[in-house]
Amino acid sequence: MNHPPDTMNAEDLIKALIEIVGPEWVLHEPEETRAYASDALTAYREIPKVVVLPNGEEEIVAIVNICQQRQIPIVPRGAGTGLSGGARPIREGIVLSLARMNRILALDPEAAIAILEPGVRNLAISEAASPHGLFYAPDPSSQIACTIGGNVNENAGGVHCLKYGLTLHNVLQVRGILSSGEVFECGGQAPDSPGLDLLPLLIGSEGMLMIVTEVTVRLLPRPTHAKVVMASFDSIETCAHAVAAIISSCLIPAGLEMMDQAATRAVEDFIQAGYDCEAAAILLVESDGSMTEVDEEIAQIKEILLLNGSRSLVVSETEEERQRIWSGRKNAFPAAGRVAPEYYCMDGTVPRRQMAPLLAHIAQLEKHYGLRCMNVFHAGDGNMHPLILFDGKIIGEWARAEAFGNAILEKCIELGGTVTGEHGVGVEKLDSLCVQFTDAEREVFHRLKEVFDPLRILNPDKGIPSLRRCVEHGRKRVAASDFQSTHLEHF
Amino acid sequence: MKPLERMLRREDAEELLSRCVQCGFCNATCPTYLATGHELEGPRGRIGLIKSMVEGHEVSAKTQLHLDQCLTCLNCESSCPSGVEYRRIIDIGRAWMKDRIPRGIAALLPRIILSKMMAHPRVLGLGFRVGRWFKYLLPSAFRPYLQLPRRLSLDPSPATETLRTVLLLKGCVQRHLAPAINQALRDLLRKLGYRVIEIGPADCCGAVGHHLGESETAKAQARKTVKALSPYLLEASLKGDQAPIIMMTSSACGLMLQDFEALYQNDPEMAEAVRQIHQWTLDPVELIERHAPEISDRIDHERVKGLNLKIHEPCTFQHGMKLKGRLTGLFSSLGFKVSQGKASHLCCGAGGVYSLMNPLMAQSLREEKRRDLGLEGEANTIALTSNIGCMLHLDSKGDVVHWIEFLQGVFKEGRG
Repeated sequence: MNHPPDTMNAEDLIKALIEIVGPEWVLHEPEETRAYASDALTAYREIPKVVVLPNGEEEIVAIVNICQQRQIPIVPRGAGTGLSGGARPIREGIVLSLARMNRILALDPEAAIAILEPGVRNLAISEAASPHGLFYAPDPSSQIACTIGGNVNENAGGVHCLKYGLTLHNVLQVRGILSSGEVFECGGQAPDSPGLDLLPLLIGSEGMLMIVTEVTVRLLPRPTHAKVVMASFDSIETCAHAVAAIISSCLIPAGLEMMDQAATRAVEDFIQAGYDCEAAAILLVESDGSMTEVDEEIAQIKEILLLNGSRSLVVSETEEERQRIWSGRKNAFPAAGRVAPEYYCMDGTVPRRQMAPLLAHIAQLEKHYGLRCMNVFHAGDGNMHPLILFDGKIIGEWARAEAFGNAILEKCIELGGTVTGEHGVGVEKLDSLCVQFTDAEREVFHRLKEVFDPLRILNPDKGIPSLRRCVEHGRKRVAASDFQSTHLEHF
Repeated sequence: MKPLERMLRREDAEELLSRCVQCGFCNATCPTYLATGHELEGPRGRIGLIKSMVEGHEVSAKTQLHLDQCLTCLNCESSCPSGVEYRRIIDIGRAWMKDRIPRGIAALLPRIILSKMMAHPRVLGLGFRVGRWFKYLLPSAFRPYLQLPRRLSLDPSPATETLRTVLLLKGCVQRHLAPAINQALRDLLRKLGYRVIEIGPADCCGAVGHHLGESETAKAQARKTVKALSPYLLEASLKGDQAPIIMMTSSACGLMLQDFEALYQNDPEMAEAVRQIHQWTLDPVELIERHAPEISDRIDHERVKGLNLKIHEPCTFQHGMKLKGRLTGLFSSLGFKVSQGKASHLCCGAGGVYSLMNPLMAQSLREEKRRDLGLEGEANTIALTSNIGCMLHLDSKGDVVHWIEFLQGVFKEGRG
């Protein structure tokens, strides 16, 4: 890291921040700042020097101005539910929590848009839109807690993004503060906006380009009907093939999710979702729309599933039952906490036809690393979430879990996929990005970052790996692949 | 805490803490996190504070403050996919804290007075009387608890005792503020054919001391309650009778009774008694719902015409005893048109004695809850609840009522 030495001593910084937000909202004792040491990826921790909780854009501008003068790194944070360490603090920097800014500024049912502060919870948007028959489509599993600001920064997906798109496809406008302290706005309430379309660049930029202070989202009419089919399979491979069969039949289900037995058993303990815990894997397929559309599509889906080896099917009868089935899926990650002290959630993607080979490879890796793995994924778009179970208190287990994870991601790349589908790079996948992109591609990333943040104070050293890191990673890989090739069969 | 106890507690704590994967889902349903956006005002942050305390890190009055501000509403337990037993973690944290950070006399005094008063029914009675005289000199947070008691004038129901025995604990606060609730339950149960024995002498079951982290006082009170119940449990088992049902009209006390087991887990002498108490304690809803068909025939629906009935399920009821939806279900099955607020999972701010200790947060939660229940503005709205604490805290001019008292009031005359 090459930040110049902090020219402001900690006391002065704290005093200056207190002047902006008040003493209650500046935390600086380790006793309190420890709570901000990580996001939901707890293996990467760093206790920040200061945590500041502003309430309003003006306060943020004032904070950024102080930090840019002294070159103090800023790590923005929403609800801290991220799974790639994007909100992991930087030791000499501050954490800027946006959780207090949780107001819905406007909700216009005629234009079907909502204007939100960054700390509004994802689910709260749909709850507020619901009386108007509208909803906000992207629904990451953490939607009960995660914030729209975090969603924008990670380009969050969710179980329904197969049909309705990611955050990127549902956000119209973003406003934020650059590291210079200036306000920057892009996008617009109309579908197209003049000038360069930088919205796709900002969405998923992981707090590296600006601090998001306001988001305008598109709301969609809530489908009048929805049903979900739960299909049981005797093998994971058959289940993976059934996914391919559904997609190739030109259907776009509203959701298409797969869980293996380890996952259904852990979840059933919490939700009693009614999952078939005897099946090797289950598939959840949703259809929504008008009643006739849904009935027709469900009939088609059932037929395809039965033809492709599903041994039994259940269709949700009531809205309550449908909600319960999805609730199980949405709680799958933390439910892993019931079977192991910690879990490491991966986020690779592969082309759908490669799911079965990847799963077989993961099963091999489980044996190799001596760790169990639960599989939960957005099967419809090939976004895999293997959850590697480990106990951090046992020496060496975290290192093995990390190596296991990296091996999965590299296999994803080998199969034509990517290292992250929706959780972001953060600190976790920096090494994997060395493999995913060429030197030239990464250089473009660095240059873009510099345009927005020439001082490199916004979430520095995240999201894009440095050249040096990649060189080191390359060396390690060569050594590791020699070791692995003797133990593992390749596909 | 003695060194041995601390060691046992540390082991317990480590086991309990290892369940938390820090996903942060709990923050979304925590009233204090929602109000502040402050990580340390949410369960994940508080668990972190307790973890670092148990691990031996420095703690100060800041940790104490964040733990004090927890309502213990247990909403986090309902939303935790990993099955973290937050209530046990916060208990350990509070007990630990008590040793580490001594409170100033100003903070200590009300806690001691409150928990001691609860232990002595006479002193408590006197306290209420004196409190009523000086009502307007005391902080406004105390006022809900200083109203005149509501009593019913009932003819004794004829004894048609054919079913099981119900041991009805009198409760402490109830006796001085709303004896009508117990009267109504006694009457209702007798009409249904139960033999009701009231268990005095109206000591606190220990819940108040427990909430305040005064675990020794709580344990002493709990022990008294166990002692009062034991002869009946013993008698039933000697006679080979069906065990009596233990019941309280306040869900906070009911939960405390069920939690005796955790309080005495390292005490072999008490283990059997507290296990039985846990097993046989029922919330009145759990018993009355079994009789829904026969009761629904005897309800005078004319009397509730034009009333907009709302249900407020207390946290101890929905998150603590995990009975979410059951009070609403009972009233629907009795033929009433009832509904809950949109944010029915959130705490009203009463939180035992929380409203006395943290009046600002409690007041803002109260206002939100009243709005959510439609008590502000919508005419003829009555909210029904199952805990005296919530009832007194939320009530304004009699618009929040204990469901048992309400049900008793709409029973048709004539005895069957």
